[in-house]
Amino acid sequence: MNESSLSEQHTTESLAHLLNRVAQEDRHAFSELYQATHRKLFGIVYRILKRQSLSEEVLQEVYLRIWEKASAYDTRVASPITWMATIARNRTIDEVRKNQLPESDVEVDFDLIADDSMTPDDSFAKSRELLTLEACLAGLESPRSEMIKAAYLDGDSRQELAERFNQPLGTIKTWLHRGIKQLQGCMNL
Amino acid sequence: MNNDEETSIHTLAAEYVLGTLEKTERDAVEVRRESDPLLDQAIVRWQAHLAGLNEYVQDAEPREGLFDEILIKLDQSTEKSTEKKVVSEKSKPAKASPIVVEMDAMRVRLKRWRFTAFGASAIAACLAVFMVVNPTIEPTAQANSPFVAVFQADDSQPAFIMSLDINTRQLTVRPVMAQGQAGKTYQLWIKSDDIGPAPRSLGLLTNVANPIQKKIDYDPAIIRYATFWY
Repeated sequence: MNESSLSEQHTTESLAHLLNRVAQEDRHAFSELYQATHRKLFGIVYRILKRQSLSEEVLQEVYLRIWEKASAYDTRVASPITWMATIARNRTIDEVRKNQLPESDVEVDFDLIADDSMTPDDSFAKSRELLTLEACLAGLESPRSEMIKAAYLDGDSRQELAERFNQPLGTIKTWLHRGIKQLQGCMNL
Repeated sequence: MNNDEETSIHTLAAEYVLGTLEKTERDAVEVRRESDPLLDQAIVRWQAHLAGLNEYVQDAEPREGLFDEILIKLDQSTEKSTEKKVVSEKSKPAKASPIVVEMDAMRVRLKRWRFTAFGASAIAACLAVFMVVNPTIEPTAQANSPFVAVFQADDSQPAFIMSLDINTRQLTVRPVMAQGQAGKTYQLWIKSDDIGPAPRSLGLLTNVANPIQKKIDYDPAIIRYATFWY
């Protein structure tokens, strides 16, 4: 994941070093890690939950998990921010599936999903992984690419995707499975 | 493994990572990945390949002070672990209870107030204040007397007086000038190299209007050389 939105002072290496210190129960490192990453992780949680208070509650649990699991972090598997974002997303998706939250008053403009936070400057800082993914998503039939993004970024369930795209649930499942298979081939998974 | 099986695993892994599975399906995947390395590897790979989408997410700011709340929860979690450990070690022979307590003055982390601690040799210096607060107790420098310390705010005003019986590990915090603040709570901390590099919470001082008693679940040998602050 791109780290341009993180503190400019932090790199993959410095975040990995902080995680290593957190694994040794170093609270100063934990504080520094929080300062460097909490805005990104909160953005991920809040975009899905769309509720400030609940998102803050979940973010607390996310950092407690990061503290507990820091010793299991492996630099060979994922970058530090990807590893932490995965913890944040998993916890958030668990929360949203557990509670089946009602529709929020906050409307998300689907047309803005692809451009959300993508200023012209940011476009120069896209990671290689994102560029590869975008190229593969661009190869999907419309609107499967948008559906994949909506699921990942907004945490939509299949039912919610069916409502958003005004399609039967069976069609959404088919689109999802075909889109996944196509991405799998494109990204050599 | 044939192509259909591989496709099936990748479809399941991708849907898990995307988050489109229902709760029961997610739970089933999490159980299965523990014993299915192919599924686990597929999940890790999809997580890595889709993580780039997080770059679309705008940063957001949680409320101020959230990290302090995380630390408090961390301390509460640690305390529970410590309590379990203490229970499991109760059958061990009790160690000798040191009487003399040595404490250092150190900067307050949370409130940015300062705490001045007094060892046994300085008990007389704070005796007058202590007597004002609780004239019924007469601490002495004798072997079994409680340790007494004054927590100061702004270098001048005594905020709390803490007395500590090393033998029973009973700690009493009595308010002097401390006043509660809306939305904020005092917290008592202990620091010792023997319990790790970070300070450990001894709990919140929720009602500063009355004396607060706490039992410290640390070995007297640790308490003896520990540093306390709030």
